[in-house]
Amino acid sequence: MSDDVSLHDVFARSERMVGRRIAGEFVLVPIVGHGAQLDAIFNLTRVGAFTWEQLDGRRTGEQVVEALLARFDVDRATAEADYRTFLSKLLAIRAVSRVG
Amino acid sequence: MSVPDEFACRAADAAFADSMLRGCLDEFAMVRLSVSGDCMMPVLRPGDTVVLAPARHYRPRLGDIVLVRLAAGLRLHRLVPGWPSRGSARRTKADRAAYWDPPFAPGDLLGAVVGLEREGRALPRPARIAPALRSLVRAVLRRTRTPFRTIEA
Repeated sequence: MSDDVSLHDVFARSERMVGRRIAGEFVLVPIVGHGAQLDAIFNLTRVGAFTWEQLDGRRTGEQVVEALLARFDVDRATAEADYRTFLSKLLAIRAVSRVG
Repeated sequence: MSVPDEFACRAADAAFADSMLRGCLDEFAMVRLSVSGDCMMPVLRPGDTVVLAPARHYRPRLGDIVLVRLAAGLRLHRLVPGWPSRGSARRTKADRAAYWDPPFAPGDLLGAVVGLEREGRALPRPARIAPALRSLVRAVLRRTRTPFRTIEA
């Protein structure tokens, strides 16, 4: 599944999914119409939340991985593999779109 | 760092669901929830989606279907008159239940249903007064009904 994601790709957060820190957790909440759909909330942890914030539609995967390396104690191979897996999951739930 | 551990679409336990729901009602002007259970049939059916307005935006009125936090958990029940002499002018009740729910604290009245969708189609907002009266009359009748007695001359 993570084969779909290249480190050269640029991703942007979808407008139909918003990230919020609620009750001490960082969650992705789908927006339907004018309301928040609470049946499918996605709970992100620290690394997931940090990665989500990097997906601004301008940074490439390589740049996001560099940010992960600077922020967390992790080796490059693990960070790249985890980034690709994470983005594949976000694509699957249509939380992000590929913009470049 | 491992993504499968770090990124969790976790099944919501009751405490997590409660705090998340409260947080979302604070954060968003409207929230949508799927209905489970049949205690509010026929007005609400399992699988329906209700649109809830937080109590801070919409002050629930008698007859409204509200989201209330009871000791048994979160419930979508109807707001009905209670007994002021027992310290609760407003109580909640499932339309199909014979009994009123236990009293709730004002802060546990979280929101009210302001929209309803069934099978992808928007339905008119649920009526307030007529279903509430039907539910109350049905409950009173169930509780006062006694077996017929035969009186012999």
